[in-house]
Amino acid sequence: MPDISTVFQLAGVGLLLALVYLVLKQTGREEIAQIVTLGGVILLLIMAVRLLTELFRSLETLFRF
Amino acid sequence: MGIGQLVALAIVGALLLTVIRQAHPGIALVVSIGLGVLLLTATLYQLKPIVTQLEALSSLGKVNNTLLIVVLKIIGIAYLVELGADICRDAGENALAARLELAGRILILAMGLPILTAVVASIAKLLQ
Repeated sequence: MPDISTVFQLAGVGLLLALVYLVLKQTGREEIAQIVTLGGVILLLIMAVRLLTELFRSLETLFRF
Repeated sequence: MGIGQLVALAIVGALLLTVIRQAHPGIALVVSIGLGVLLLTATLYQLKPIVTQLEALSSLGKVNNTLLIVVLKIIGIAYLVELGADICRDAGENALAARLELAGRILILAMGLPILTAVVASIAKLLQ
């Protein structure tokens, strides 16, 4: 069962990452901003994939794949 | 999750995503995938009692169990294809979404045809 804290985790990381990206870009550190974005996207992707596996598992049990 | 929580999740997610999208569209896409999957998972948990009720109903009417399983599989395929196509559409890949939907339709047709042949066979048996 998913809970509401996962949402805040996901959206919070995204928001923080976007803000960090903006600040780094404004101060002229393009490369660091790109690397931070890449790392953050990978982190978010891992969280999303974890959610996706949960969804697939419940779909499999529910719809008898 | 109750319906209030689901609505709150969707609204909060939409508000946060507008802010994130302005700063970085790529991050917003991943976050939106996560939130969408979460909403769908929460919905599936509500769907579980409905499916068990449906099974009880079909056993009451002595419907062939394999037919019900095929129908359930078709519903599952529809859910998955819809999710994937919407994610593709969010990312701006409309062509990819259309191909995925085509694939889903063909898969559903392939699974549904045996049911159609069973129906036609039973009609033919009635007519003889």
